[in-house]
Amino acid sequence: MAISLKPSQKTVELVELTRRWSLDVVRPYAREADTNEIYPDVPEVIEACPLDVAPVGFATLRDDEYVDRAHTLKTDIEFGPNVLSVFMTEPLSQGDSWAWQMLHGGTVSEDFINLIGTPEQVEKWCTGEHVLTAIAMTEDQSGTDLAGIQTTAVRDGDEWVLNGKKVFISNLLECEWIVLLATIDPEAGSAGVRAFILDRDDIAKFDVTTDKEDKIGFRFIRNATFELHDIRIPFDRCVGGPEAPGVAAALGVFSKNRATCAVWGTSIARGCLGFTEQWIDERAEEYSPARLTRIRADFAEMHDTLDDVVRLALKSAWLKDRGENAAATACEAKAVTPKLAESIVLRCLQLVGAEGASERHLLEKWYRDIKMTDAMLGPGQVQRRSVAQMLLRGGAGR
Amino acid sequence: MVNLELSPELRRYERELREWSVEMVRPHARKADTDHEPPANWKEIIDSCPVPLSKNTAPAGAADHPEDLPTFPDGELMRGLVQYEMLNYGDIWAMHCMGGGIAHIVVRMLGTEEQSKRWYEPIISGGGTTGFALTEPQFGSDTSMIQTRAVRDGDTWVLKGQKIFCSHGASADFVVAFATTDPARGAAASEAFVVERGTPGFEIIRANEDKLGLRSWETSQLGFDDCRIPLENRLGYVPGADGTAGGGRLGALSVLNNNRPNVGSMAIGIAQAALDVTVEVLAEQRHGYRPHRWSAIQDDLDAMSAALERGRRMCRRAQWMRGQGLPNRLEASAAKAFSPGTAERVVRRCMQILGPDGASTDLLLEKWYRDLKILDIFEGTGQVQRMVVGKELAKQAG
Amino acid sequence: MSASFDLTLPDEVVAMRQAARSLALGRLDAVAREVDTTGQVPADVAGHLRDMGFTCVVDSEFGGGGVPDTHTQLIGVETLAHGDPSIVGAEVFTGGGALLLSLLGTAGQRRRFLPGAAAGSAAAPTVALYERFEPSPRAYDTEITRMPDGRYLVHGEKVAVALGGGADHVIVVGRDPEQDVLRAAVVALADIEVASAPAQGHLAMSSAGLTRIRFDVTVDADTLLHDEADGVTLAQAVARTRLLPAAVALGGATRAREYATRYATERVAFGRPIISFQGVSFTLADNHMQLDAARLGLWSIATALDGLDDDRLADEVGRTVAECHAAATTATRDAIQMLGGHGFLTDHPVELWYRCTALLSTIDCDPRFTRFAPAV
Repeated sequence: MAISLKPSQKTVELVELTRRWSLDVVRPYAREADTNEIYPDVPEVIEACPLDVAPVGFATLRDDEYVDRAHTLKTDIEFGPNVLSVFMTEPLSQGDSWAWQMLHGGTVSEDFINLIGTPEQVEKWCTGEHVLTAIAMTEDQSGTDLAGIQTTAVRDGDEWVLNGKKVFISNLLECEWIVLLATIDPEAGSAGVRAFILDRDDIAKFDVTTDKEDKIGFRFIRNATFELHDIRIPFDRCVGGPEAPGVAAALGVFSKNRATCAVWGTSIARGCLGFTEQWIDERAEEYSPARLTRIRADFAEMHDTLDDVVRLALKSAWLKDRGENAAATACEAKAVTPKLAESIVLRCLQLVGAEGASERHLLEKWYRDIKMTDAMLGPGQVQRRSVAQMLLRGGAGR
Repeated sequence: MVNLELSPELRRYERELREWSVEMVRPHARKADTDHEPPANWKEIIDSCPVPLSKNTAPAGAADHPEDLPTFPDGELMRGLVQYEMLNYGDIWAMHCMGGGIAHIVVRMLGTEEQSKRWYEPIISGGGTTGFALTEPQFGSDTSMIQTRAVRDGDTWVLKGQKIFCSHGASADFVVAFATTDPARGAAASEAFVVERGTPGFEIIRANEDKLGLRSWETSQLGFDDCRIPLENRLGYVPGADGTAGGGRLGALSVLNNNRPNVGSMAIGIAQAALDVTVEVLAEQRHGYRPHRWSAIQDDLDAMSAALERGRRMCRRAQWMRGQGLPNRLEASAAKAFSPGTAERVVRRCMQILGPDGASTDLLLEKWYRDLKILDIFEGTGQVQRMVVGKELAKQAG
Repeated sequence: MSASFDLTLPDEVVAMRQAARSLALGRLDAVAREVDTTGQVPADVAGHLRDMGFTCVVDSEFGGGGVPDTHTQLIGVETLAHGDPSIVGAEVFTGGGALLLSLLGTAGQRRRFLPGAAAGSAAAPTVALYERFEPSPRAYDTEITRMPDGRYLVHGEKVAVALGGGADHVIVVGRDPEQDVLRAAVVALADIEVASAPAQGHLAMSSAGLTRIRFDVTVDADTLLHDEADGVTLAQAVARTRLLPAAVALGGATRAREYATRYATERVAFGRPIISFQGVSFTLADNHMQLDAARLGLWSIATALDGLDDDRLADEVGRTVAECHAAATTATRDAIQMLGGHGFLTDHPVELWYRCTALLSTIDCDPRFTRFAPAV
């Protein structure tokens, strides 16, 4: 019988290397990233990563690229890119989350182009030396729902003219280019939405009203709010051209990321757990044996619950790799992670006590970070609604 | 000064009631379940209670204080809660024997003086049983969907339709049945009718429904097949003044909704009984456990005890507010949303702790687990309570 | 086993699952209420279940369907439980001895018991596994100790021993305190006194005849099962046995979830199908997620049975099983809730499933692995 939920030895080794990188190389800069509210300027950290592509980007690699990639990484081609992506995301943020977004393919903007862009666009924007990119989707009235997008793109000869407002956009001022979603037909709802590429010169023309939102966590990512007033860009900047089916593919990128995003949350929680376990171990003699047993039972339970979510994410990725509909399972994993991860980090904070909530440790930072994962890619309610809708379609029994 | 305790007088009342309930009510629990009816000598048993009980001579926790009941500084509503909890602490069968139903009370609420004389007073003075017919197969919570028809034909009303979950329906001297004179208007055109036993067209489809629990409570399925009743059997009928009372009689029932905290107390009573039985059994078995398991069990017992206390406080708070004349929709629904669901978990957990013996017919836990389920359903399901809470919060906000 | 992550079911497993589903929904479903009342499984249903080869597993050498791998058996049992978890649960308990004998029986034991079990002419030995206080087999209070004369003393108390199948022998699992290993011995029921005879009534699984039995009996050395055969240890076989009721619970609960979803699409309140209320749809979504996660956990531990030391194995199985039961009891209680008052009536089967999952959750419950939490 073929069922297996484990990776091969080679993948296990790569996971461990990545975990060590995150713990030993990334974590030392975590506090600095949080305090300065910007990625630390330490390119050697990124270079030291055993992965040269962010796992989240695996799925958009062409088959031959994926084979190359796996070869470089010395793992087996034992499963599809989505499964590998989940396996590799799990160790990635255990040290801290700040670094992996700097990896190639770390943001969905490249995914958009890889998936629905013309060959020329892929060639121009997604090859060559890696640069930081960004994506502008959210508006005042539109979060998860693309149909709410009000920023417009109007064709004028060889150019597009963009007008509107975007809020809470990550990495706007740090990126080399950005993918921006706007509608070419406001009457058409989500079907009218297209993605556009804007470079640094275009970004310089934005009317930036806030360059850095104050937020609770993931402070190393800066979020900007800006307005577009008659921004003109060349016609070939529309990803895939105006006839490309914009919204479906765009949403596909997000459904892929849901599974990975869920595992991002478990990764943070796992890092927290590891930290706290070590902290307790170092003080083991200060606890009564009964209490220590209880605490260790708690740890085991928390690890186990995290394993559950990873398995849901793996199932979704596996279905995706087989070309089957994975949306329901992806939402499942995403729906449960934030609340779960939050409760785990909170439990860790409590176990370490008052000291745990102080800035001497990173637990308080992770507690703030984890809060952000819920809002990203659709909060819990949206995910549960999706699961419910899919159950309904998927045939209720008698 | 804030005080969440009962007065010493009411505590004494509570204790006497509890002791009697365990000694006299509980021994008949298993048989009442198996036989699907209360013990034959139920009247004798109830009469043996050392403290006075209210017996449905007035709506539960009525504003007008029944004369034969003692007064407590805590108020009649609080005494009502104690009665609900303690009777069910013995077993749920006794509740159904507290007076013969509520239909005569509905007559007094909705009927004329004349009707009260005919159908209410004889029951109060001479005893008797009255049945309540509201729920239909197609609706429970949403009374606007009422389908039982009442059609005026000369000097009679003709009833047509089906009712389920009619308390005392089959054995009652008369039932009060709700029907609509205009299906398009549903509840807005609803009227209440007294249908006496033996009226042609009044059928008992099932005398006592087959249920998961609560088997000793007679709940009947009734049919009205062109059942003809005199005009004066419509509650609110005034001789000479033709037609209906203007409909909306269902709305007038809302006073019965004040029962929610009482249902909460019933659940607490049952769960406390299960918990106490469990603690008793465990007291003899404690030596069997390894320490790490025993401490986990101890934790659970403490948590269950605390949860029941929390439920008690919620029920008391809701009734206290009502006693003060304060609106308590939110608090009453919160108490009802919390208590039965929690009680169910308590009993389930107790069975798990006791192992398969805990779910065997040697103990009453398995019966109580079956009985409890309905408490989260009738008088407004847990879902409906949450809707009410949500709506009340929205009202407060806006 | 595949070398890496893979959830593909082989064609023959897909086919057998289809067959199991037909039996579940075509026959088990129809007799569930009757079996609940009478405690008797109709002969044709018992025969069909035996032929399926998941609840009473008999080596092909003795005319059985062969020993399926753990995943296949879990899937088979879960699928059957869609029809009725009580019937299937009872069969899993009464048929448990056949699995242990097929995996670890001596040649003599297998010859003696398995042909009858395969043909349905005699009941396979039942199993005395679960204990009141100690869920971990490694620490069972029941002891199987070697006496100076070479015979063995079987001493201890077991709960949830299923006598409903009419077995006249029981395989007792206990600890050998001297060797610190797990042992299993075949004991004739005639030689012991049954503590709670006649069998107690329970919340569900009326055909299982669950009973508490105290053992204090001496048996010959040749009644012991092998500690290991063909690379399968007794600890692994016991672990596998403990997973089956969890699969039953998942099957029943999944059916309940499906049933409630269907009902919620048809039932109208406040002008629309109740599924359109978030209180309904979110609850069903949560149930689905919890069940799905628990199932993957079950499959995962099934993969790992041979990779863990005995202590770890016992705990991991306990944890996984606890999680399945938590998901199953929640989903069935919520299913009743979705049906409202109708769920409380025996007109619908949901109350059967509600009772059964609760009973199953009491049998293998380590208090360390689940906690009480209030409803709000």
